[in-house]
Amino acid sequence: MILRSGAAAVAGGVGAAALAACGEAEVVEKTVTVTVTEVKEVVKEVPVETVVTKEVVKEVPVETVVTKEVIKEVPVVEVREVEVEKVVTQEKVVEVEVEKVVTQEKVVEVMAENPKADSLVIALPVTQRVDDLDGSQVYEFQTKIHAFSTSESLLLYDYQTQTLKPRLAESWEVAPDATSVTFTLREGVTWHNGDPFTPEDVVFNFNRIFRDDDPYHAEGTFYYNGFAQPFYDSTEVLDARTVRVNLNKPDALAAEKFGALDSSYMAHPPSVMEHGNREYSTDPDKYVGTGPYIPVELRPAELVRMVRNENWWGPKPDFDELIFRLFPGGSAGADARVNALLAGEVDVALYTPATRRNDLFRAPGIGAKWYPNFVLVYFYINHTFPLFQDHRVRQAVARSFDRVSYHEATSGPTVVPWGRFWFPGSPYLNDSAELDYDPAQVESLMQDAGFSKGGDGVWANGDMRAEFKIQYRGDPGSPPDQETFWMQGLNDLGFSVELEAWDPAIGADFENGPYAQQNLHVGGWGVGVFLGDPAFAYQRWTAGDDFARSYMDNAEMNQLYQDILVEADAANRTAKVHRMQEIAAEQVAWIPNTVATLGAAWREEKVTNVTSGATQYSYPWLYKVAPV
Amino acid sequence: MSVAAATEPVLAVRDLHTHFFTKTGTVRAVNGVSFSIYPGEIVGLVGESGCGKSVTAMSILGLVDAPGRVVNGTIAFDGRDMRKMSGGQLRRVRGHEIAMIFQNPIGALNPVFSVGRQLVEAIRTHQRVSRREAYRQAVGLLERVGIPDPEQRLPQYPHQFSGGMAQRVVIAMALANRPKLLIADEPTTALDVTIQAQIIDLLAELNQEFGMAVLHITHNMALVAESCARTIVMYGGKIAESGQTDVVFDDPKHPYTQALLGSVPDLDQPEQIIDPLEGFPPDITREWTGCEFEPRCSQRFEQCSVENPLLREVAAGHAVRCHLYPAAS
Amino acid sequence: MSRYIARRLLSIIPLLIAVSIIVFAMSKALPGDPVEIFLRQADISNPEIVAAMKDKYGLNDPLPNQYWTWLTLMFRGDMGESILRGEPVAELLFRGMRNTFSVATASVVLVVVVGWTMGVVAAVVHNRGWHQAITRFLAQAPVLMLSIPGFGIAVFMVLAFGVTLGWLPTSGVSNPRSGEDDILDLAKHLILPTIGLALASVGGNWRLARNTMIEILREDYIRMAHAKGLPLWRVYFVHGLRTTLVPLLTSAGLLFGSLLTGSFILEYIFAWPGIGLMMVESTVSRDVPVVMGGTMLIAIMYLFINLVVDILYAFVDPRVRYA
Ligand SMILES: Nc1ncnc2c1ncn2[C@@H]1O[C@H](COP(=O)(O)OP(=O)(O)OP(=O)(O)O)[C@@H](O)[C@H]1O
Ligand code: SF4
Ligand SMILES: [Mg+2]
Repeated sequence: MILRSGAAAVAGGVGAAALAACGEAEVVEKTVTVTVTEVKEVVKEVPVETVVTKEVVKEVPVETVVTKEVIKEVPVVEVREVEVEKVVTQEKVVEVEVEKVVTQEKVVEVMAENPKADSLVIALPVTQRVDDLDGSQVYEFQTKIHAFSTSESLLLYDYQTQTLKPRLAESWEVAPDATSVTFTLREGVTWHNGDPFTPEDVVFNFNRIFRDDDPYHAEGTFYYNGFAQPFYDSTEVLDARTVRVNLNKPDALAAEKFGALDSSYMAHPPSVMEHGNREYSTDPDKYVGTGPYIPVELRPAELVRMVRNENWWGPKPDFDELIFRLFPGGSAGADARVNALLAGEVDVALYTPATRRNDLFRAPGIGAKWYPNFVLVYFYINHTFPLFQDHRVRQAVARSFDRVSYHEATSGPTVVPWGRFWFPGSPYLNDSAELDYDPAQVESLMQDAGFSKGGDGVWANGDMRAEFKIQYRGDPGSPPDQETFWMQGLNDLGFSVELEAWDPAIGADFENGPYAQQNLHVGGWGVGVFLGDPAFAYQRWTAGDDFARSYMDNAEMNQLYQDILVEADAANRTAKVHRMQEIAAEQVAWIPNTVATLGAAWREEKVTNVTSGATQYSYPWLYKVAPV
Repeated sequence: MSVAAATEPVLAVRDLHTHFFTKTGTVRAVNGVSFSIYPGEIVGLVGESGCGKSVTAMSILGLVDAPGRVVNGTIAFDGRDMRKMSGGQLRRVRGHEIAMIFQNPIGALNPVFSVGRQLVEAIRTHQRVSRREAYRQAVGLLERVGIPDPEQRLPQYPHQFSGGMAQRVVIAMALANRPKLLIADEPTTALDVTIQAQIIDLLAELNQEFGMAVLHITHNMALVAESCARTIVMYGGKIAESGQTDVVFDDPKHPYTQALLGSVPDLDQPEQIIDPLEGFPPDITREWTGCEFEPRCSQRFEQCSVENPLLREVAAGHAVRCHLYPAAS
Repeated sequence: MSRYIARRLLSIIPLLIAVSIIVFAMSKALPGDPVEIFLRQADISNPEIVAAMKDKYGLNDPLPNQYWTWLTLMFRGDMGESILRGEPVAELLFRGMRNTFSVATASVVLVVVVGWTMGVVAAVVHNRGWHQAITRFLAQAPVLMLSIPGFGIAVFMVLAFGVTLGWLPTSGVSNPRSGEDDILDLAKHLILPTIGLALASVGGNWRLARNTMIEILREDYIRMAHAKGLPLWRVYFVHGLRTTLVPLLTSAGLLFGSLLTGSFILEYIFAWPGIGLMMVESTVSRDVPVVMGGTMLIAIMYLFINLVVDILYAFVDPRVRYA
């Protein structure tokens, strides 16, 4: 420890005085491990003259340890570790004196790391529970970005490829009957305090998170355990590296739920037992995790500061220190984050608002991009309205919205127009299950449904005219919004559509209220598909309180849902999800509109690779320092 | 009651013009006023509301507020021209050689400071004495103006004093530096009748005792008759008549003076205020070609509307500004 | 004086009780069950969990019991736990209040230093009959300040002084890079929020100071002070200012009290973690313990500030003291 900091001081260019000062530190441990920090690069032909390191153990009558190393004209200094074993001292005071360190200035300069890697300030929006470090107890997506930098789950769900990746577990296996999942843990993982990470820790955590009767469950707040908890039975240690989670009913997605679910994060059992979930999760002094960064300071609603975990199992992250600056959510908070980035107060701003896209794109030295957020935004349709009872009419209406033109004209690159039922790039995506804009299709669908255009150019089928209203939530004075745009498109294609102002007072009752009889509702409803779980999506598109207004009951769909729960074979499951998407598209349960995006912006001179994870979650330990 | 000695006047005002330059026109509040006050003399300055009495007083002290300005004339105090004095010199005269008391004694005292503090301030502004000595003097002054228990009263605040008591405090403050001239601007108007008499008596006593001259501005003819050796009657920014009080009262020449006195039917009812006349005070935003009193005058004749009368002596020490009295007899 | 203070202190007690009853009643009148709203946000609708949560927060007891429990706990400084954040309400509020307090104090200081000073200067300039241009400017400038909305100027200042010129931080209470929260760093962060928050009040107090002092300079006791031969500075700054202070103190006291309730908009714009943002968020999400504790805290602070103002008032104006 002592020499490590000493060497770091040399690396930082502080010099001999600092070295001497460091030598006065106290060593309390009986075993003194002296580590000379790795110095990666030294330009050749610059001689390091002499480094004399001398340890003097004073007032120790029994033993005196002197470590002396002389390095002469060594062009490349390798990682050196000097271990002094069994230094038994009674007085517990070890003084290290470093004498006469003569180095040339040039050396110091070259030995210094990229100075931009010292610390990275990341602006995050947080509105509610802002101060959690334990990933299992975090409420907000945004806050997870800092919690997940210090706290880890067994697996990581990679949103780029929408697949599972190893993390604290190296491999996993769901039983063929989908009633258990076995995780093989990574070797050599340690907690921040040096304790080894063991299978028993996993047992403790799963019980803590998923068992209501567990003593350590009580005052914790595990917001997202509801998706896995109904399936959880117990966890067993199979051997020194393997644990098995037993389910009480089959679940083909057990690996996703127990490995990578937002509440399946590992907490250090002794710390939780000593301090309780709440204190453990909110006080950096009481928190112990396994992740790439170690929290050192937490000021609620203000900032979270973390330093790099030098003993992390993964590749060394670039930045010595991460500072998460916390901003309010909402549009004003988003503005403030962008302003702070433009002013150079922060290096990365996450969740940047689309409204500031031009400021960001124009600013020199600022990189900005909007990434798909894996939340589908959709329009919903009132299936009980007589006109909409024919699915072909529903399809025609869905295909009348030219979302690509609309979003190109209004939101630019901050939105992904999307007329399909799964996310771009997903293995589950059935590309033919789409409701894209297609005027010719609209024509033939309406004809198939028995409609023909009357003298006024509006589709009619006997008494039934293609006439309905769209609920309008926009501000009448604002630039063309989706409702207006779609209304015009529909009217061009032979529908007779009007906008009707949204009255929130009566709007809530779609079953019996005045709106029940007539409409297509246009609203920014989002469907987040969780860890690629088709079951989750199924529930969303067929049932649930908020979505009852779009309810459609379909026997085949329901059967498919039952099937995928136990379908452990990936190819079969994919085929079934594909079929579910076809049904959804054919029946037009709802009309996909866009994939929501999240913006990220960064200072290019300081950091690159912010792109990697700026999706639902962003992974700051993968950010790279910009080259000097 | 002392009579003017034939010495140099303590204050000699000559052809004083004080005008207010307002948006609606020039208000000629004082428009050519001349008079003198001799040491130890009490002079009454009377006239209806708005005739320029207070402005005259403020002009003497150089305290006319913007947008007003003394535009012409000389104010000789003790042989020195007040109008040529610097701000510092003026401040050494104010409160020291010329003191002033106001109509509303409670208003003249700062409500947030104790009367002791205000008295001590008045003393220490002009005398190099210690706080303690000033305090001792303040006690003596309060005693002198007839406030019982001065030690107890000094730490009190103005709102704890009755009007009469407060006026005594103001008088004490005015006397603090033994001024040569005291200007009392309606010192009794705000007080009830019995207190009025006490204050007038007090002023008379102090006048005798300290030999200071008093310019007593008032509406109350009876008070003038009772206490002033000489009387100056003002009308529309000018002097209408002036002379020994008994002469003016026994033989008023100016129709305005006559009207004023005619409205005091009984000297035993001194609270009777003047404004017996029909009509309104003159518009002083214009120069009059004729006599300012002409619209209301019962004795006006042709000349009155074409020529502005001059102030002329009709007898020794008795001057009148009226065409009825063309020259000294 | 001490008797006056004691009397004023005592008079606060019934007010506090009244406030506590109102706060309690208000929390009960809030539409929506806090526990259910909260749990729904977390996608939990299990009735057992709902019942257990309600029990935990004592929401099943009869109302008077709930009130009494709440009151006694609060007296011991225990305002319960935030339903939303799980953190003790007292800690939460302390944190928010600390940040709100700093910017409120800075605002009042700005109002006093700039608003009052300029108002007094404007009055003296008016009284001395200086050149029209100066007199007018000093009379109109505060009106201008009053008419600019605070958040508008705030957004402008952030863009101008923060983003474009880079002179001042755009948001937040501290520079995370410096690590320590030293006072200079805080001061730098306070400048823009303070101006945004206080500009209109600076204008208001400027105008108030000017108008009051102009009135007061017409008072007889000011003429008396002149007539006593006092030097000008004594006339203006002892006799004129002291009485001018009376309405100004009230104004600043009220301002301070209202600033302590936090400004939602400015806290938003400047990412200032104050009590306003916290209260709005807590109210919207029905975090009842925070709403109750916060309202109580704000009410207590308000009463306390009123008390301090009253005492200062009595100190400045003896008429109040002896009334
Ligand atoms: N600040 C001012 N601006 C404009 N006009 C003024 C001002 N002060 C006094 N005047 C005018 O000067 C004239 C004389 O006023 P002054 O106060 O001397 O009257 P007065 O004789 O003392 O009356 P009163 O018996 O009511 O005290 C009045 O017409 C008044 O309107
Ligand atoms: S001059 Fe004429 S109008 Fe004037 S007072 Fe004399 S008589 Fe009357
Ligand atoms: Mg007057």
